[in-house]
Amino acid sequence: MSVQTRINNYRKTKTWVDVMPIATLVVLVILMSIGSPRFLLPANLLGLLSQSATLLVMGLGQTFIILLGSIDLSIAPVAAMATIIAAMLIPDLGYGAFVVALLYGAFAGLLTGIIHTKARIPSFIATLGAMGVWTGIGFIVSNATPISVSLANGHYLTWVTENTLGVSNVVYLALAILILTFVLENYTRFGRYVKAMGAGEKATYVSGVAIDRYKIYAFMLCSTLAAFSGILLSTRMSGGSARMADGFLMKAIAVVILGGTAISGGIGGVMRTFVGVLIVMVLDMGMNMAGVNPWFQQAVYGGIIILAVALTIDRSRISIIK
Amino acid sequence: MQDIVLEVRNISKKFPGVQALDRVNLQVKQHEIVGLVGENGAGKSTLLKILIGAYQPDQGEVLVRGKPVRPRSVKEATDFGLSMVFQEQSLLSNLTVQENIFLGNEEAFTRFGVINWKKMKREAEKQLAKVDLDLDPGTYTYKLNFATRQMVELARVIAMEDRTKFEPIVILDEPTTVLDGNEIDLLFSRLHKLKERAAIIFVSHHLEEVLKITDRIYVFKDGKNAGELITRETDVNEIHRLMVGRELRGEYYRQGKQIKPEEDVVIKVENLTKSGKYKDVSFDLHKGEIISFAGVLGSGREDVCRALAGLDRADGGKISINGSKLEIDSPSAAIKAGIGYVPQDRGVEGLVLYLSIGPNITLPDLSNITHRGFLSPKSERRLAEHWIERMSIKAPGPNALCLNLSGGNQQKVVLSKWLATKVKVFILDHPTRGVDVGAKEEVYELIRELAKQGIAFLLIADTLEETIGLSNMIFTMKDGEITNRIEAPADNKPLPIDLIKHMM
Repeated sequence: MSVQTRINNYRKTKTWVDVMPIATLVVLVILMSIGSPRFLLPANLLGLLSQSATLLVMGLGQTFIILLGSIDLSIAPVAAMATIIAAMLIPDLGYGAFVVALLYGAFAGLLTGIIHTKARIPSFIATLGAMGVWTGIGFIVSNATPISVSLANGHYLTWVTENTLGVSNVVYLALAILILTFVLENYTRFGRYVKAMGAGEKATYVSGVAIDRYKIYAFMLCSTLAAFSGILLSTRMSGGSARMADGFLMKAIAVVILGGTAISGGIGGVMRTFVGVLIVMVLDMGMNMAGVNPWFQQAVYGGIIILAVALTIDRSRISIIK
Repeated sequence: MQDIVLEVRNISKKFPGVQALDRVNLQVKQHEIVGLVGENGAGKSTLLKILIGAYQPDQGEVLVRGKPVRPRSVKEATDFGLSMVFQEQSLLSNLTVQENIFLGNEEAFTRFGVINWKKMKREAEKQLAKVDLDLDPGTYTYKLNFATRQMVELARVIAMEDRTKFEPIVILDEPTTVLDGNEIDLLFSRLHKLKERAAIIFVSHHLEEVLKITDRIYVFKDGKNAGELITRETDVNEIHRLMVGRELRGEYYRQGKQIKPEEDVVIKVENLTKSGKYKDVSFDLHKGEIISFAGVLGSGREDVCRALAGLDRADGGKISINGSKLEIDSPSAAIKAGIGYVPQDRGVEGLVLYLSIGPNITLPDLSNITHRGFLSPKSERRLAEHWIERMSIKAPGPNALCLNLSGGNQQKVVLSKWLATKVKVFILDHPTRGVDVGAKEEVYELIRELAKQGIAFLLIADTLEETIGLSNMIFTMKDGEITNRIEAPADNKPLPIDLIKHMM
């Protein structure tokens, strides 16, 4: 194939949605390094990455749901519940507490998935309800007070925040999840079916795919990753509380959309979410340096989500917007 | 000499791959009922959609009372006096009759944003009286039966005359499909009364009815005018002739390659029944055989095919594949039985348009590209290239989204998908719809080749010629039952007229 043919083929398969996020990232990085010369220092960048690890893991889980064309609003309370479970059970179970927290995540996803598919309740409503349920249960179980992990048990947590080869372990963990989800998305039946369902559920059904089963798997994956991100949070905060994951939902959705995964489903993927996280990382740093009020930052992310969806949504596929 | 209230002049409309309307002309005079007939795909619905503002013509003009109009929405069309009673009822069942009659036109009863219900009710009573319907306008629409709803729709359409100072032009699209004998007579008597204050276009497959109620008849064929008849001077046979007149071009359908089916029965269907759709459908499909179902809307043929594809389970009856009874209750059951369904609506049920060729072909059976539990993009690419070559699929590259392929090439991807699963039976639902002529011939060629290899086909074709040209056997269906079984061997093909009389 000649070079020109290759270029033409590339042009026909790529759209500006593919290119925009990376271009945005590059522009932001350039702006930041002009504004703050210390920005590009490895120490700085790695520090930023470890702060974003939680968000990345949460975003990766949400990516699969958005690829389906659905949404999971319950990820923050699920993460918070995971922090509570971890903090409460460490004294008795040690590392086993983390396993329980992950199992809880899978269970929460299973529940949501079954309600969504078998009772035919739109994901928006099913996960909104789940959000309420887990928030409430979180408060009850923790007695509305943060639970700290005593110094004696601290070693269960610090292995995550310690450095290996100069990089915080949390970064390795997040990157491991990134690789895992990348493989799931591109090299497994599950990933293929999720993409197909999001892009054309009816045709996928006619091709004989068990739609409900794979949707449930997707919700289980999302909630388990939310629980995992909760575990990362609990190690950073040395404890657990029902409010620990506040504010994460908006950002987790923002990173998926900003990265270029379409809200209508079928297009996008975990690598794009990774780019989205990098964009948010840089944006956060910029806003902090500019002294923007943290509460206002929520408003900024809200606005960004609206703008990003307005730019990327494929209106030809959804003629009636509700 | 009556005035011409509606004139359609040289209207053309093209969709990707198909010329839906080609310079058609039509005139409707005051106080006249004009019939519009033609096969599926002749262009009737396209013209109607243009008249009511849902489509824009590429060329030509529409004149209402001598003035050119170009409605860009249904509301605009009603402002010009054009409105339609739809085939698939358009009333909102959760609203009352009066709300439906004035839906979108409540301004006459609104003051400062508040609706005067009493006034609306009085007005609604007036409109209902015009169609002789004795009904409380406050009744909720979901409580009414189909025939009454149709009358309410008619009242809604006629209500327009009070808004536009002119007599309305009313279009009725297949109004009798949901009605039984008595209700049809009632409708006709009301139409006679309506005629005194409106001009009417009556579109229907039921030719006896068209002959009963209309003054003149237009026949469309392949998007063109095929004839204009004066009702009292014509008969069913002449209409039939004009509807299907084109000579069958034998080699277009590769009749020379038509084979005799083998002895083995691949699918045996016994008394397949689904209440409201079809009844006691029984047949045997042999290896290498092509059986077509011929019938109009409501004949049940699409529903029977969907039942065999696992998409719309039958209520009763038995299906046996190679001798053993099978419950085909889902697409995966049908696929396991070796049945591949090529749907009418390719873009929704046949292909995932936003995925490329490879992922679409591998979707029913990923084991073709799975090594040790993981998908191999390389295998997929090789598979896509194999099918692109084998089926001569014209695509910018193997990674091109199916969205960007032409109708014919999209269809080839759908066929490849099933061939990759070693399908034994193809159910083809309007397989050449939206496919250009060249690609159509490729599809016909392919069907012959596959039949020779022993694959059997159930076919719902777009036109009677296609039905006759391709099949070994034709089942005509009407109102859910098989009305006749006509053999169509290559050297003795039946004529369209032989089929139509069993279809309508």
